[in-house]
Amino acid sequence: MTQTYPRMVPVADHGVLIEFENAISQSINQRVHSLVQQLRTQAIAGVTSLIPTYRSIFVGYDALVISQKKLMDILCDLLHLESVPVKQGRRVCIPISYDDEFGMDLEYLATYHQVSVDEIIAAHSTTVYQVFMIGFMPGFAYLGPLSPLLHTPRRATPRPHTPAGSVNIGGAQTLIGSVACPSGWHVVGRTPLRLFDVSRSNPFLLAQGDEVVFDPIDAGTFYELEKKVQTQDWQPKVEVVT
Amino acid sequence: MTMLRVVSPGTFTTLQDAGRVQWQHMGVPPSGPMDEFAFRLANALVGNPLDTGALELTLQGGRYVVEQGSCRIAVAGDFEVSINNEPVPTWQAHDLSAGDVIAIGRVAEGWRGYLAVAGGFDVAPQLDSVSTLLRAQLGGFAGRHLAKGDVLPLRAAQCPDAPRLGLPAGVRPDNFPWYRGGRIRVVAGPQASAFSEAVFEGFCCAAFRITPHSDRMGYRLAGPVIQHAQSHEIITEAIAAGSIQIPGDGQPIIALCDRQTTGGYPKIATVIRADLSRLGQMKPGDSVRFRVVSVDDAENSWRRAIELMHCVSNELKPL
Repeated sequence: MTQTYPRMVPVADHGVLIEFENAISQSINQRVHSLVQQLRTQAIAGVTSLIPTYRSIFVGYDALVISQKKLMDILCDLLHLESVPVKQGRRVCIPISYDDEFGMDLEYLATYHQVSVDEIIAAHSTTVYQVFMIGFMPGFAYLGPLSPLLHTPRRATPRPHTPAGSVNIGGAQTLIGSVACPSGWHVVGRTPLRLFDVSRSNPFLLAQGDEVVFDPIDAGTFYELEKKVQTQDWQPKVEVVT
Repeated sequence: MTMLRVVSPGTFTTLQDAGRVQWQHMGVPPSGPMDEFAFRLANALVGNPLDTGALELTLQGGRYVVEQGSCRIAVAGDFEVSINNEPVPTWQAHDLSAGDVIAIGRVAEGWRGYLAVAGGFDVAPQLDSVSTLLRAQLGGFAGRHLAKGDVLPLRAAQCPDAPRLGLPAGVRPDNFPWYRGGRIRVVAGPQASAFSEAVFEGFCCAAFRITPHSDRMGYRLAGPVIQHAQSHEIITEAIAAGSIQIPGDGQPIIALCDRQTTGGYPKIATVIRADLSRLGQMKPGDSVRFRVVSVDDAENSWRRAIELMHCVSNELKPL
């Protein structure tokens, strides 16, 4: 049975999931973010949250204010609006150490893909990534496209603890973490930067639409930068993307 | 300014208001109360706006002494409470003055409760809320659960002039409909199609146990393995409250207040809003079974429950 997109799926009695094509692509993601901008402007009464992801938007609502039927009617009309241009972001250079103590799953990935650890690191570090979405925990940035060489199914059981700043791979996605948390992803390295810091004027380092390039560093440099980041004495290199 | 000093912090006590619902698109969980009905009624009992920050108590509520000033408090939950060693009823406001000690013992029915103070706590919001998110050290008192010796400042310096309030005549918390019911009600999906009909039926028939790996982020269940028809992952998308994710090992994880905002495990069903509070009162070791309802039924259940809660809060009786 073929699916027609975009389509809407109920999420119990407190959400509607708008889905676009089931793929990770910049053009689909642009449509997601364009529609979210339009939904924010509409400010539909009863809508309590809008969460854009790679190819879907979760619309949280309160059934005391609006019924799901009515909400879906309103959304239906908006789904077919022309895409509006989404603002361009910046290119941010993120230092990352792939050293053994940080890249816990590099050996596993090398074995799984039958290549060397160096090839895993090269494939991961040489791509210019787009930030497709921010999610999971505060400030976590989901990046793509991930080299097909690195596509790896998530762990069957999540690891109860993955350190702050971990850079991970899961499925066809890679992400940079902020705080420590459980994760079903494979850890390839770590950044000394804080993707979320509530004491900064903008607590979030990255946003959808930004580009990310990785700058491999060794463990020594990692610890130096980590100290500077703690005292807010170091900023990553940022270029405006035209 | 009134201060409450923490003599003993209880099992796991955090400051929660209605939550930071508006920051989920930046990966910030909404946090907020695990039992939103008890939370709102605790606030109503002390005359607060219903979304005011209150202490969420778990298992053992803790012991607090009024260091200076005076305050009106209420505990909503089935806890043993005493003031200066005299047992006092819960679900009722009490006025305390400097030197008074309130001891909140062990919960009987349920798992959580709320200690609200008239005027709320004097805590600056972070990202529009005072709710505590431990993982990011966000909100609350220093972004963590309470510890012995903590001094909690209150906004109000003294008790309100208005009379103290209690539940309306004939209303008993164990009769609240949102706590009753056997199975937890769910709506199928959003990824019900990732499971065969037989597996879905099996999910509805099964009894699961809430494991000790359960907290405000989510409840991990143990029970029959729920098998995926094909892949055990999807492209990352948002996780709503009550989402029942099925990771590769086939053991369900129910996402709750401090959940990760997005994830890639297929979600077989989602708990309806009216039953989230009942879930928030369940504890490790409890058995849980699910029952599928329609979106219409679910919405009606939520409206009835929240309207009843408002009814109760509007008809609290002066003591």
